[in-house]
Amino acid sequence: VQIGLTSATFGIVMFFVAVSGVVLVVVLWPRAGRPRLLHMLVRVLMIGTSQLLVIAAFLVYLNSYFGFYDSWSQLLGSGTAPVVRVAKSTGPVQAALTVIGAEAAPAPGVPIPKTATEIPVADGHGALGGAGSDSQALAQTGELLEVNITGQHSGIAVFNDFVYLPPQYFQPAYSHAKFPVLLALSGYPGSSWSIVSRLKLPAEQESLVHSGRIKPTVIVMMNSAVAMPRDTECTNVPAGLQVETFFAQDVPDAIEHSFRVQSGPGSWATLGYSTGGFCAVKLAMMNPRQFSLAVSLAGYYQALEDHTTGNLYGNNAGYQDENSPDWRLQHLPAPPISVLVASSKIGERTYGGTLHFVTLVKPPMQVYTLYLAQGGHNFGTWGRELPQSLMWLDARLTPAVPAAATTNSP
Amino acid sequence: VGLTSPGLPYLLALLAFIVLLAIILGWPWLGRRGFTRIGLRILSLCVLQALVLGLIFVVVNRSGEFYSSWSDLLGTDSHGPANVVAVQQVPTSSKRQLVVTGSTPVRLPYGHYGGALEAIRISGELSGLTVAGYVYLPQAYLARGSHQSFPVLTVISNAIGGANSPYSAHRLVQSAAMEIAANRMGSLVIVMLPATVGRFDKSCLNLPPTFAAHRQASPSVQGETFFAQDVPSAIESAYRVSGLPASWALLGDQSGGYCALHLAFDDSQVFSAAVVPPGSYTKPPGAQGLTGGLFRQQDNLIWQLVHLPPPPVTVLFAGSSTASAGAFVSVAQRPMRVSTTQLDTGTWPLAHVLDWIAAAVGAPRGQLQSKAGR
Repeated sequence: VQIGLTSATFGIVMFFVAVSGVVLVVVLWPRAGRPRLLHMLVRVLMIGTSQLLVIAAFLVYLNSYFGFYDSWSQLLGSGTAPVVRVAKSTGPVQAALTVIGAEAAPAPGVPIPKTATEIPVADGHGALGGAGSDSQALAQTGELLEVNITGQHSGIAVFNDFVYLPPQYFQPAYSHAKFPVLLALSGYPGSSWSIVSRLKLPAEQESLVHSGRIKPTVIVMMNSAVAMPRDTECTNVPAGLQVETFFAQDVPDAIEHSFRVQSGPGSWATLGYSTGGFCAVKLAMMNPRQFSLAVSLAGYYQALEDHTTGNLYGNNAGYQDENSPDWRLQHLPAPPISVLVASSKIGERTYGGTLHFVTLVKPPMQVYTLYLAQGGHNFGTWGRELPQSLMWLDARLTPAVPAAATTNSP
Repeated sequence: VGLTSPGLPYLLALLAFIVLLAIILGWPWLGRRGFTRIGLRILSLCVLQALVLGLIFVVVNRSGEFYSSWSDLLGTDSHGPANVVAVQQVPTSSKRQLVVTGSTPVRLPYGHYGGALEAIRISGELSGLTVAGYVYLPQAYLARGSHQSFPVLTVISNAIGGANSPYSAHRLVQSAAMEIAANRMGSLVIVMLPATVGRFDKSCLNLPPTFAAHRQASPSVQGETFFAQDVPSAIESAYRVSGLPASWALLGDQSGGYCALHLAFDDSQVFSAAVVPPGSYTKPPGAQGLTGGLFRQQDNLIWQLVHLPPPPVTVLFAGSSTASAGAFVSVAQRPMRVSTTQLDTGTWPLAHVLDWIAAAVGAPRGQLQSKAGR
């Protein structure tokens, strides 16, 4: 039996272990009551053990609350595994995108479970399978799909990411309409599910669409770290994981082949927070023909390398520079993209770096800023920045056009 | 006391230590019988636990800067939403990506016209490289009322400006025009560019800047970006051509073969076919100082074939001794396809290669050339 790191079962087990630790200490208390050195040591040991058990339970809770590590393999994995190669020349080519779960998309204002394990195994859902009886319901709620994507160029295979299809995707008026796409990237350490459950991106978009303030997009929600627990910073690692290629070529290929979405300039945007913000801006700057818009919530603009990333740049300082948005703006022509950068004046250490980045931007690149007076590096802050970010994107993306003169009930 | 004030962790640690000490010393007293004492035991453990957890949270929060204040943590921040502000950019006169500097009609025997050869200059929007080259427009492109989009062949060779090489612009275009006129080849647009773009370029790679004694020894060169992003963008902005990868092919000679094959491998979202001379392609030509080290390992295209998924491209090795392409023939797997062919002898050695390329990119055939010309 596998017990997931973020599963309710594991949380409950850890809670009861911690409580029984405390109970045991209270019950066995009198046995260490003599004024002897040994008993003093036993007292420290008893208290220490029970404290550690509670701390472990607390960490498990925090991990699942913040969505840092989604599974045991993400926490303990090798960070190198996922490159997939075709085994035999005669064998079938690995499918680029597989739907492994599907359910109605979360509605605005409704609590969303912390873990994604509730998503049922897909069979005959509205998007890819037969347009069954549930397509009427999906036209009200939209659909959330859990997908695996195998990169046809990079060979990188990722699991348990999410695609949100808005209600309009299933409505007859839009049956031939192609939707713009928003690629949303998590921070590090993080999980794609936290974009659904903590940032509440699909619910926020639906709320704004419902009130008529923006038009719907398809949202692809992914972990920016493709080889957890390694932090890959959306970089083509020399003779290693080709993560930039994965996000800039493989993911658009897989999505454009699987869903009714637009392709070409003006149809794809990136959005991310923290490391995902860095990725969003870097990917758009390096691939402006694919991503013409980027939103960075509390992102940074220099290429970092630390113990979580390992060797990302092949010991080549120049290549590290090329992965830095700041450096690119100072040494290469600016790309034809628009970028929205968000940060907070108090509580965000990315604020200074954001101000600096903004001063470097030159035409044809356009930069817009959204600075909160105060707010830390957390989902609460990013959630407050989200409505305006989505409205900013909406003003620039090519919308899906419904069939003529069909009135949609609000 | 603020959530992120530097004194808070010390305060919590001190309190935790005091409580721990009190528990250890007061142990016998707390260990006596009675519900009150049991209650006090639980209470003392809980207080200590709360202090320790609080300490951990505050330290982690300070290092990660997750929550900036108590109100941020509790979600009671009442600061209203801020506004999106456009940072005003000084507008520059937008530089044309492609400039036509000259145009000559392509003449065929018996007074027929076979399209036009234009001299062009591409200003790379992303690479910053400015490169002169040629574009061939077939007669079908120029036909009155034509709204068709054409596939594109990009020829990469340092011989395009010469006179005698089969890869020189004039001979290549003459060859293509005759094949099209004879209806052995579909109509396509041919873009001809040199293999060496800019002073520091080596085989159209993206080369990061190099440093010697903390000073920049050579600047960043974006050769791959030029061919894979700037050229398609410039050509698509100036001509009626298809933007689909299935419609874009590459042709390289000895000087541009590595470049063409490298682009087919790394940018198969842009190109779907390449014709290059047979060779081993284990390192870029003229790449002194580029070899060695992890960083340039991927420049070995055989290494790529072994370690990365095969790209969805069709490659034709065309040359006199096709044996040297043996490594590619044996290692390549679906969806990549590899073929070899001998070059024709005679005046037009590339004629059947051009036929093959036109078929590979689905160039439209069968439109008879108008006798009257333009």
